[in-house]
Amino acid sequence: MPSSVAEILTFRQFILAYFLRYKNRWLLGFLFVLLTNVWQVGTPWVLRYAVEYLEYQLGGLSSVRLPSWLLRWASMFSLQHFLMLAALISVVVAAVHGLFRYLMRNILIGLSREIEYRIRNDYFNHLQTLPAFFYQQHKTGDLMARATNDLEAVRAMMGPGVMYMMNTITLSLFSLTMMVTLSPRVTVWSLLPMPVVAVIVRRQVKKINGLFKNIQAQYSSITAKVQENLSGIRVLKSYVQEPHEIVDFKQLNREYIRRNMKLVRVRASLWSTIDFLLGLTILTCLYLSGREVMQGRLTIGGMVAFMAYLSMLAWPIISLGWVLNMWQEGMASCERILSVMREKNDIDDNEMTDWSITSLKGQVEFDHLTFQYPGTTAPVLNDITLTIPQGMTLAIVGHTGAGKTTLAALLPRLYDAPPGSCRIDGHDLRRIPLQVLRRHIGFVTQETMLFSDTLAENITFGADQAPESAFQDAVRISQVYKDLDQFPDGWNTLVGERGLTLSGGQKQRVAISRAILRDPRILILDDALSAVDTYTEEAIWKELEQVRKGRTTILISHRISTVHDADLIIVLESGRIVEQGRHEQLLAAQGAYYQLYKRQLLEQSLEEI
Amino acid sequence: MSIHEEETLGKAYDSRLMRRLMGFLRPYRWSVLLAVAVLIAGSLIELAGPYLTRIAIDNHIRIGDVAGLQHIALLYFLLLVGQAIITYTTTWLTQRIGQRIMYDMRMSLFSHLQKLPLSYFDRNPVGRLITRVTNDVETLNNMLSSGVVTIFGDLFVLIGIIVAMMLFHWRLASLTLLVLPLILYTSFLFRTHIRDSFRQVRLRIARINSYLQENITAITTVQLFSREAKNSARFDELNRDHLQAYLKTIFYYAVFYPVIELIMAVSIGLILWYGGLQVIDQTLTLGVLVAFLQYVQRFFMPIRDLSEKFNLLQSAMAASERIFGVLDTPIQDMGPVGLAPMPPARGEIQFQRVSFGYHQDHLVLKDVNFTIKPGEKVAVVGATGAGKTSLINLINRLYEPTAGTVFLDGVNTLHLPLDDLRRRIRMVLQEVFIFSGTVEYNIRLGDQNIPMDRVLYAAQEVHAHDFIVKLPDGYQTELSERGSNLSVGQKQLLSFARALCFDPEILILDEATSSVDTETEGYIRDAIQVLMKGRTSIIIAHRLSTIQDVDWILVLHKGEIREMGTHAELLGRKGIYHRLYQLQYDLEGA
Repeated sequence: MPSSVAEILTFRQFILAYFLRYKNRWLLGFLFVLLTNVWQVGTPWVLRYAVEYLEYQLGGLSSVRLPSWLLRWASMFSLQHFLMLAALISVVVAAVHGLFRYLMRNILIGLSREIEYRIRNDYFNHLQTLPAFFYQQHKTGDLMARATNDLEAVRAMMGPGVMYMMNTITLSLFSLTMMVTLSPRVTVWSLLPMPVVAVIVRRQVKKINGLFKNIQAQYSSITAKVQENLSGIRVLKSYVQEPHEIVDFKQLNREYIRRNMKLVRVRASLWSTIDFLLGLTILTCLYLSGREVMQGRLTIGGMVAFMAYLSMLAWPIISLGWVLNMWQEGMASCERILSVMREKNDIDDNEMTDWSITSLKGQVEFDHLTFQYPGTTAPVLNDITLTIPQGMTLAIVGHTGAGKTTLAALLPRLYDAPPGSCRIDGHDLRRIPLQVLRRHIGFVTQETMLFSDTLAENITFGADQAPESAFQDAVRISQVYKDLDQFPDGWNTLVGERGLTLSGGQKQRVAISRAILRDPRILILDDALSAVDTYTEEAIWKELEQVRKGRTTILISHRISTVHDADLIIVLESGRIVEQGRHEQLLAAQGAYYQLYKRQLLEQSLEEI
Repeated sequence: MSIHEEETLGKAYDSRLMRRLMGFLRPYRWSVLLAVAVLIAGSLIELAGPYLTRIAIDNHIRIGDVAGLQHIALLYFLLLVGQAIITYTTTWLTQRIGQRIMYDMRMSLFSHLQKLPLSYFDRNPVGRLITRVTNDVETLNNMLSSGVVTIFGDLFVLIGIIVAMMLFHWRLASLTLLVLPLILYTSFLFRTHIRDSFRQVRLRIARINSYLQENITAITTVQLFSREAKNSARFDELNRDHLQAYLKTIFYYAVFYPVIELIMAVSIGLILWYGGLQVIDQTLTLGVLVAFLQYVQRFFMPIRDLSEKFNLLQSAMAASERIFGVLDTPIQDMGPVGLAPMPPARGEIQFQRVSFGYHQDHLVLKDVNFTIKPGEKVAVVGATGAGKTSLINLINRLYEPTAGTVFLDGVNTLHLPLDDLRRRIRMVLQEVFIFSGTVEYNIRLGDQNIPMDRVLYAAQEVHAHDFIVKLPDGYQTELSERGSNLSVGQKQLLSFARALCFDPEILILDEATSSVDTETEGYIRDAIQVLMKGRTSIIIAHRLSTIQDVDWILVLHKGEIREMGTHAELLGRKGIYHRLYQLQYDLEGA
């Protein structure tokens, strides 16, 4: 729900959006936590009565007085049957407890996965709306990490984090109640080490996290070293530096081990302390309850139950430290995800949008256009004024960095030009609904991006409603169809990582089909045939001649051969138009265009030797 | 982990791999033995708790022997202290073994990588190799230090409990253990299901991540083609698949633990019923019954964990397979060893019918023949893709010829010790590689034998000194990764200093094409002259000044030598060189 995403800016809104929407299921989950623990404390209680019954039967020193209801029950059964009944009850209690535990886990952990799913979707949808500028400022890896590591931390907080917390609280309350019922004195004394355990765990977890960060830092150093070493392997080999590199690496590696061992020592002492303190509670319990039994204030059955409760309590209390930590990390990760969610997209429809514009013809005007990228000081385009009448072809030539691509990228509003400086059919770009604007532009970018999907999917990428005949036309014009026999599954061949690896030229031709299939009013080819061989290129140009009729076309190219028949050629230098005119005019002018032409003739002649 | 790697994961256990892994354990066999011994001791102590409870109940509590109970408590306390020490020792010992092995493995991987031929790095992306040295080794460590050892520990406890129960009352023990096959079967079932569904989860998360990554990198295309809605739908599909897979694992987990507890309850029920009867019959004491109840509870924990350990083992196997894949790659022939260093070379380089290709079917150099006499300075020119870089790479054996021979002073370079060969030839590459470290480090690299005044001398000679001393910490200024705090020209001067510092007999220089300001241009020109002075030099020339300074020029075209001669001769010939010259230098000169 992209609409709600925009409103999630604070942690509170985050909780409202993702937590409270499942209020009823959370409540149900909590109910099952309660029920699980009610039955969990039942098992030791059954043990207690069973053992007490045995004590009663044995008689002797520890003379046990059974509660009257138990005596009544016992008198109804034979010894054999009574024990069998006790056994059966303990199994039934475990079964009911298990059922609730199953429901608890299923609901609460399942819920956290569902929230994870929802956040991931919202995150993805939001990413899709963000402008190109945002992606220049954020590394892919970083954006990915938020959708993976951070999301998992948030999930852990909302799933196991919440569940264990509830579990610890209720289980502690219940078992404490039972223990106090058995013997308040033994409860107090034997539980003395428990708070100490909780505090130690909490403190050590903090320490462990610190050490862990140190280890991660060193791990990064090792990674960086390997990366540098392998990237610079040519230099290193040329200078026979391998032995020194190994020595350097040895030091890093050793330091890594040293830091790891530091953590190992802290962990080892933490575990042995926990073991010791827990053992101490059992020992205290054994000793004190033994004394109580001797004094007739407790039964052996009670003692057995008591010890069972103690071991039941141990884990939740130890895990408290981890749970708290889970919460802390979850909050931090949540903030990182939210910071992306907060990013706004400036390039979108707004109150300026004129919704009556539903189609475009393709007359392009630049009016004293000066443009600089956000956050930079030097303009990339300087005072460009130019009109491309509908159906005409404009060619842009110039050196790398002259601003050719930027000029083209302003049309579909990948970046926003200053108001009033770019118009299509006389409308300022900002007044045209974004969907309408982009629908009418077919842009073949310099770098071809294909998806790991079928060829057909990649070609119908922006026009999945296009008829089959249009598809055939598109693949014919781009000449991809000539390679069809190279694709094992025809147009259904997978491309990319898991499928066929296309050559650079094939990729570009797929991209051209993709753009043409949209049947655009404005066709932009940004160095779109650089990897295509000359022969195929010629064929494509021939086909494109038909396509270009009636469409406004913008060609960006280094090769004179591709631009010479354009209606208008402009030469860009450092963001300014330095020459413009038709091919013959520019040649006659003997300027920059002419120099370029001469060079290319030379290169061509070399190529032919 | 990529989808591809994830799909190959599946092999659980491979005895051949295991044997090789054990090889890494060998140097630490005494530590391992000690760890096992301590583990056994620890298991014994763990068994002692219920036993002491039994004694306390039967021999002391039931007869009101307070002093006896105190003795037991004291003994228990001592055991607790012992256990704390043992827990500490085992954790420390086993982790240390794991860490050491990890260290050894990283070292051998890294050292091995250093010896692999350059062509290996062309085939294997850096990212993948980094994963081998970092991630995969880490995965293996998890198995070695916590996996294997705790599996042993758990096993000892299990066996110990069975033995103890048998000794107490073998009939009750047998009855209690009746559920054992049931547990094993449940665990097995759980393990298979959970493994499969976790593989599904990993596969699907990998799909999500690659789709996400694709969308981020291709965001412009997505927006240009207004694909947002469709891609959202597709992402939702992938995301939902992942959710479904996860819900399945949650189901298995949610079922498994309660089932194990139920089986445990059956055991407890059996003890209550049969044990209870024995107590009444006086063939079993109450204390033993209590001890049984406690043993049963301890019995189930390790079994529960065992299945998780299995997963660990599985991914470790996959990781070790990948690691050994690297270690098994043959290293480059280092040439004869133990040979006395060659006498200083005269510096004659000869190519005899040399052909070379990165792939078998496509030669980038064809039948190249030439001889460079000692002390001569030669420029190599040619269009992009003519084979210039490949040519110079053959001289110091970064690559080896597909056919033909490269001679240095009349000796086949393949017969020279590799490090000796490279020590005598220095390369200055077009793309200057700056290592993270100080300026000084970048000049003399790791070679501690080069004195500082040599570094200073080299820097001064190539005009690098002036800008270096203006840096915040002079020669000790830390350069960032890839030298982003230096200008292009400065980086070049630095690499010249590097080459001069090592005082090579033969210099190979791949001139940079990037343009620099006029002042720096002048410095670079001077520096190149200094570098070439008095040594055989081969230069891929891009500067007019350079080709005017060399003795003769070698023109490569499409992998073949097409023209050789001095600048004037070649210009007069009006051939390829003439055109190249016009293309490359005319504009510069104008």
